[in-house]
Amino acid sequence: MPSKHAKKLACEIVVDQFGEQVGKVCQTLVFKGQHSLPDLGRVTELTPPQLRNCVLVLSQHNCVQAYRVEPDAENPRTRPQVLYVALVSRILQRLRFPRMLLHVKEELGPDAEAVLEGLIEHGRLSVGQLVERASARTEDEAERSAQSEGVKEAFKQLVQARYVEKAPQAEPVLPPASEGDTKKGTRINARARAAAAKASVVESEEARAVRLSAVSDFDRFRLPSSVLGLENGAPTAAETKALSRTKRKREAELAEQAAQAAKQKADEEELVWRVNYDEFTRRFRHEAMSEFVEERMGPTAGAAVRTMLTETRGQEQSVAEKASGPVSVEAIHTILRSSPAGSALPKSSIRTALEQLAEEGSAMVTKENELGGGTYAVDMAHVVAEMRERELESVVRNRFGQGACRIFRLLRMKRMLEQKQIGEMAMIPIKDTRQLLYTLLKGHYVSLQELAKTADHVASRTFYLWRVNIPQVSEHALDEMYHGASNLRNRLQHELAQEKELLSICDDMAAGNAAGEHGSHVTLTSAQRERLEQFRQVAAVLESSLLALEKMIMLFSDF
Amino acid sequence: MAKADPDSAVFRLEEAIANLCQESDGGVTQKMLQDELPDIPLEELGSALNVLLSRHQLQMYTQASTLYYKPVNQEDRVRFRGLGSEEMLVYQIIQASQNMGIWTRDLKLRSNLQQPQITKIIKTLEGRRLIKAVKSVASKNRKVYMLYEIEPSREITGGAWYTEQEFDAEFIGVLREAVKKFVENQGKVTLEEIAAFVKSSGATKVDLRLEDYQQVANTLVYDGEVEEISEFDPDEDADTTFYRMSPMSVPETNAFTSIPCGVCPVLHECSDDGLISPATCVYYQEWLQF
Ligand code: SF4
Repeated sequence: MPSKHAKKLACEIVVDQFGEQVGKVCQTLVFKGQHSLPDLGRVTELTPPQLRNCVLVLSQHNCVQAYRVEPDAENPRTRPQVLYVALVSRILQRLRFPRMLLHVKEELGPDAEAVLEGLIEHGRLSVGQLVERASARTEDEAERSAQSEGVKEAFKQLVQARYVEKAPQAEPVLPPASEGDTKKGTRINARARAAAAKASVVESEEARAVRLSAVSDFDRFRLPSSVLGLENGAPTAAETKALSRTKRKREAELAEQAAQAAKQKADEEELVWRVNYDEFTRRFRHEAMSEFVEERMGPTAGAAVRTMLTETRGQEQSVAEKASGPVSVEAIHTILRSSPAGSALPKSSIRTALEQLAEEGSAMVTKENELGGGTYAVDMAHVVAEMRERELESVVRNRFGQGACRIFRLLRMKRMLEQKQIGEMAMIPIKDTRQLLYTLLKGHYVSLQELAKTADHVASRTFYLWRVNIPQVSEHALDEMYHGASNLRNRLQHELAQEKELLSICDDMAAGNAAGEHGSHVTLTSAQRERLEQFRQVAAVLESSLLALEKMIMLFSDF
Repeated sequence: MAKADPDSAVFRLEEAIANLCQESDGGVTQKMLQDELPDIPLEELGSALNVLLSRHQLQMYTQASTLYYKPVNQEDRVRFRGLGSEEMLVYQIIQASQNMGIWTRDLKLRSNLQQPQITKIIKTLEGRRLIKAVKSVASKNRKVYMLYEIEPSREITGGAWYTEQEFDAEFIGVLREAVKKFVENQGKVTLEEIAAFVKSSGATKVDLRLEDYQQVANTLVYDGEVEEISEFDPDEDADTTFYRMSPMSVPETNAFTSIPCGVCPVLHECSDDGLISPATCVYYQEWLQF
């Protein structure tokens, strides 16, 4: 369940990119849960065409997922309906687009970056549309065809690296409740079903919608034949086999095959693709973990962990996997030797680094067995936990001071303590200790637990135990970070509004220059130029701060 | 008090006890008395001891949780001369409080005397150097009383970390800095090495115990600056605890604390349309000043 400020930020992002009307629909879905189109109409008071357009935009940009609920077989009065669910985490991940573009540019080059840019801009596109988009930039025929090949090649690379995936199903069907349930369909049964639903961990609307719409793993990254260059290629296995058969039969078969191929091609033309958010998150997660290990435990440890994560990436199912697959020292050594940077690393130093990482104090990898000079797996859950705690500690120290940070860490190490023990161990006078504890309590960074020795809860016979509940603190801090991100964006918009006039003059001038009107009659006074410079600096600071903050948010929301 | 009959059995018993106490150097225990005077029933022995104690011919003290009796020296007897039973009562209550001391409200409760009376008695006892007042660090305005010769508990004085009942944060800061520098320069050190270094560096004029050094080193562990590891020490031929710089130190800043909201005291009151808002925020104003 997204927190208050996560929801608010998500709505702000949507309004900002798609306008007020779309924003209104989004807000309803985010804050009030899933709606059918008629219900949305009543709440938002938009006309049906407006509404249809809004959900289209939101679906196209992966902000909303629809699914169909079939009528209840028992109850003839129910009608099929389509429900729309806001995908808050996907919306929030839009802040990550600049980072994704940069990542792809560095790894796969500018062509891939351009393809990804197209997908980001339009949400979902078919291969044909991607090609069209690229060729629209040039008139030259030869250049066009070269460009089309470039786009297809870049697209292929993106899909193979899993940065791009087939778009999920537009309107999956929620299967009716299981057979047995519907057949018996008594009131008792209905009640039992409700109770069961309540008791089991309830799947969030968002999670259910994503699950229903998911494309099978096999199909998700299967390249269309046009991209694979199969259209006019060598005969397929089926064709070769067919050659041995009688001519007439062969002709008939060939005709059928051709028809099928044409249909398949047409189907493929229709297929739309989108950015695979999760693969980016996975890469960023691996990168952040490797960086953390490198910074704390040295370059060899960092290189070893990076290699292990890259090697076992294909085995991962979910983004927030708890552990990597096992890799041996032998294998790490071989891979590193063939990479340009790590050629000089001897096997013994890799082994030493891994042994250190496996030590009780750090516990960032676990030893699986002795094969291949020792086989290890990265304890991803532990590394992520360490990373989060460091960040939380830094927040505590910067916001509440060194003493508070000492107390915070002390409580993490000793689990539960009384005020007096805390003061003594942290060497902070009891009066200050009390004050720090209550400030931390008010800020939701520590919690206080009463343990009454007697049933009457008399204060003098009650232990007051202080502790830090990391999952709770993390959740709270994440909400604060969303709040901070929201504030950064709002401040940026405020700055933009302040300089609106000046900026529109600049736009006019730029437009004038583009149109070839050199020496246009508008010029900026020196005061205006200074203000413009000032604004640019402010905007740069706000934008880069938001990007950096988003990276930290990712650690808490997606890792 | 009736004059004791020098010939009575009681008097002889008292004298025998007094002599036994006089003869042994460190005083005698009840068990020793029983061994020496096997014919005396326990009750008689007890009452004789009580009489001697109340006359300040004997005094009691505990050592290693054993009770000892020893004769009161001449000087002490002068100090007790002429004290009334109420004064003795107060004295005994204070004595029972040992090195923790007792404050006047509790004295009043236990003795059933009125405040003015108690004040007067305390004056007398203080004048005779039988008791003393000690300020407690836990609550600075509260004085506790204990026997004159007793060393107050560390809980009362605060131990090495208090100077005149004031928590000496500066002193602790100096020690922490010294320990940290030492660990940083040496790489891996034991607690003993830390203690030896700090002593020789002259950072402390007070004589600190090993536990005190440990307490200081631990604060550095809690701060995440230093870590504790257990490793085999060939010198000791056993596992020893070492201190070294921690690779898991707390980051100076991060992406959240670098923006005003991350350290903002009014973050939870701040909203776009509220009194406190990002558009009107003074912290932002300052931050975006170039
Ligand atoms: S915008 Fe200003 S007032 Fe609001 S939370 Fe951020 S720093 Fe605090």
